[in-house]
Amino acid sequence: MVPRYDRGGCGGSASYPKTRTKLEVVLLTVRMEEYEHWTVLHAAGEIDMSSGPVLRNELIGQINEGRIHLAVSLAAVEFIDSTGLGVLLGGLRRARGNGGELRVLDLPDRICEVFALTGMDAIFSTSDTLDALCTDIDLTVDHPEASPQSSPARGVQP
Amino acid sequence: MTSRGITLEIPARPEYLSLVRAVVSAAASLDPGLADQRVDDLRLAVSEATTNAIEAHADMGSDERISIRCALGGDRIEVEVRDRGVGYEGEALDDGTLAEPGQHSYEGGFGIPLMRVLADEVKIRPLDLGTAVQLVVYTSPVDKG
Repeated sequence: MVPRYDRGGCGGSASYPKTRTKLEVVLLTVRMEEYEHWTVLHAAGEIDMSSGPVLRNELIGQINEGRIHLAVSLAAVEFIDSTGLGVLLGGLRRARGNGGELRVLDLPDRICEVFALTGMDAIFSTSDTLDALCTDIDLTVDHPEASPQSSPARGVQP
Repeated sequence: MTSRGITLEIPARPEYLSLVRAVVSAAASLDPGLADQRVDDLRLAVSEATTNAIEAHADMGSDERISIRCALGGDRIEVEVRDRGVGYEGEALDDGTLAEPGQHSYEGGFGIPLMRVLADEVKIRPLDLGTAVQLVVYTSPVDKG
């Protein structure tokens, strides 16, 4: 995360700038790749209240386009808070509501701890990896209604 | 007990969360008695408290600032997040632990329980206008040889 500050009218003064200071921060990037039945979103950066909508919109967009077997790689995620966890839960709910599934992959140790602290490790498997996903194309079998041959729903359930 | 610290005031906008995390982490890292993992715990707890503060301001359309005071000294690091928004719901102040996993069918509700798990002490008290959330993590004595 590299914050960039447009100092605007601040000029090093201890008082607040008269003009609104612009804070531009690129917290999170999401890159999409497809592997067999799975659409993998590679998240990189920090997931919080500010950046969470980026991932949420990406998940909703993929489901809207019929890609309902989703995996979010967290390998390059440095920070996640409750908002980020909520985004993943919402994605899981929407994916399953449309007959699909959502997995999380390659959790760094710290992210794994946060999943354990919040009980999210009972909802998501925290040991799944991208390698395993790529070599086991039948991973959808353990979610019977998520057949890759079925016609994907187009709408997003609330 | 001598203490040193910093105070940060931010607009109640989400894009300032990463700045708060960076500043608090940097300040906490100055204490050699705090392990890296505990710095991460504090960083996440402060982020949760600040997120709640931002949401409280948004609920009432307030453009007041949020203050984050970080004090180092003695056997602890204290961070207090003060907002001028609407207060917490009563049930949010319960001392309960995180909900059972099956209850997480919605996209929120982790914040305060997560703070309570991460910090050694959490105190939430209403102000005349707003709420103050105090987070404390204990530090270990450092062998000065």
